[in-house]
Amino acid sequence: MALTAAFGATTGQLGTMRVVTTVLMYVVLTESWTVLGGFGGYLNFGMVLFFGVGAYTTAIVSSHAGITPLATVLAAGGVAGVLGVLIGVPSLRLRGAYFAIVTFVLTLAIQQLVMVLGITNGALGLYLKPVSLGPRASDELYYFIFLGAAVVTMLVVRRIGSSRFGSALVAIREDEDAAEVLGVPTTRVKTVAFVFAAVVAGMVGCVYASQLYYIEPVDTFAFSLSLNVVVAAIVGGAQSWIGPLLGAVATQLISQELLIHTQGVEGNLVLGALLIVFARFVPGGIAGVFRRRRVAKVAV
Amino acid sequence: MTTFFQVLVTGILLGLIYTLIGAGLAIVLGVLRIVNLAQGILVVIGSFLAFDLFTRWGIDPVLSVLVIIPVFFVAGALGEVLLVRVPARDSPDRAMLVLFGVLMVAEAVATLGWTTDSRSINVGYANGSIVLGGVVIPEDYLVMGALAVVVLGGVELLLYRTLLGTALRAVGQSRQSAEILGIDSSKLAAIVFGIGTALAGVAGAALGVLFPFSIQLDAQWLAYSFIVVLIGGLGGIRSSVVGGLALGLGQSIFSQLLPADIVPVVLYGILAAALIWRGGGIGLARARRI
Repeated sequence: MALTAAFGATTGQLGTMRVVTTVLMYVVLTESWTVLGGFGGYLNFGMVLFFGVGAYTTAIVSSHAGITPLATVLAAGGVAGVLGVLIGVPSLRLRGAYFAIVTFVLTLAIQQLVMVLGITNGALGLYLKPVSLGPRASDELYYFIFLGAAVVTMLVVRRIGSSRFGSALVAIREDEDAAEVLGVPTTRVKTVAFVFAAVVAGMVGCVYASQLYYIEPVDTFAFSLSLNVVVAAIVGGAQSWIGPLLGAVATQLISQELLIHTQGVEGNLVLGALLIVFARFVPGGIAGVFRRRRVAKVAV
Repeated sequence: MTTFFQVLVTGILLGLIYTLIGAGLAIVLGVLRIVNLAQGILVVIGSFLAFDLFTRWGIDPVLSVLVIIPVFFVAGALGEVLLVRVPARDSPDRAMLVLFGVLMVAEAVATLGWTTDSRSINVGYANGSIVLGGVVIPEDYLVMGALAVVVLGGVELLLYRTLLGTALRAVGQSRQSAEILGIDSSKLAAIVFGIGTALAGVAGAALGVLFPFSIQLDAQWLAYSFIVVLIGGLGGIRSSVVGGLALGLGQSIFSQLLPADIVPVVLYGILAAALIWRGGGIGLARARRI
């Protein structure tokens, strides 16, 4: 973390800074995903849903109210959160794979809906007012926003990991029926974890829209974002706050590097291969490998 | 009235082909409890193989399934042994994640090999049609619908008329009990995956003839296969036929009533609603099994 931050600040090249900004954005998303996906064991394939809804909320609210896009961050998080409640309450009664399928299908549904609605301007997309700063200063602005957001999200997720709420989620992952019998309000706990990720993704979507100042359905609701988050969490290890950080940095540095030199297909190839290898051979991810080594040392 | 029958016939023929995609997903989910997220991309690869066989060697897509079925069966069985088996022992979700990786890799490799261009297979009977009492039945729909019936019938016979099928259903009901009775469930798991993959390949060949296709269609086919399974449940081929026909007829009716770009929204919306509404029902569907 400190390494990438230092990397971005010292080298100072615009390209590098943009890469690190993207990496930090994925740290934020993956950390928030981990609460339900890692602690609770419910795979959410719909992060881009809330990200996209946040981005569109920002575009619509800021143009109607005539305010700078970044000022709508709470509205973006709020709308995404409300959508999270609406989706989470009924769908989190579903177990395991069915929940993952719902989040995947809803992503397709909402993307199609945005394509045909008038308020979102369909496939043409929406323009936003860019921040009135030079290119250099605005890149720095977004870099520091995401750096701050990454630090805050990590602290929050770390806190959750050692709280009653975190333990309830772990209990749900280990044995949901037993947790229910022992008095854990499972549906409520799962919904809160889901909405947390939704709110964070909505806010990230707001900053993204402000940074790009043009959004359209295909790229803003690209399934690859949900996918990158899942891969980052699995590669890093989704059992604690440290895994998402390691995973997001590792996978995004690789895929951003490949994106510069190739057309992005190779990036997906590498990410997919990483996912296969880690899900097949390294269940705890990178963080799990380190943890096991530490435990082994203690045992000796 | 003619329009009504027109919609009905197209819907049923389309539904039979959708059944193929759904049946592949259903058999793997029913017997092994694993969601094969790679189903959509496998369908697209089936379309591409049929396209290559047709354009290079002039093999009709109907005959190309004789190549596609064994190739896909072996690939699916190998995939189960090498990639899915070990994580599946831990949890079905981990197996699903591995298959998610397979989806990404397959998509990337297919993009490198075939590019993202849209293609179509122009068979001789693509533009022909049979008129029956005012109802126009496109010939390609008829041929592919018949192909689907033959393949689905074959799987149904395999499941209910052979010893292998009985063993497969036993594993679906209780893997442990089947093991105790001397059934080699590991070998059967590979076979089940092979069958599911082969069904996706056949569906790909059929859909490639009916619609122009590109790699990006994989998400749509995956979603369609979910719809078939969710509506029909996991009661074997007959359940998948129910789900497939419902989807085919639904799409055909909505296309008649609504603007084209709204149809997918409605279909996905129905799927999400069905999933949520049948929250308990799916649990039951899981218990019903193949």
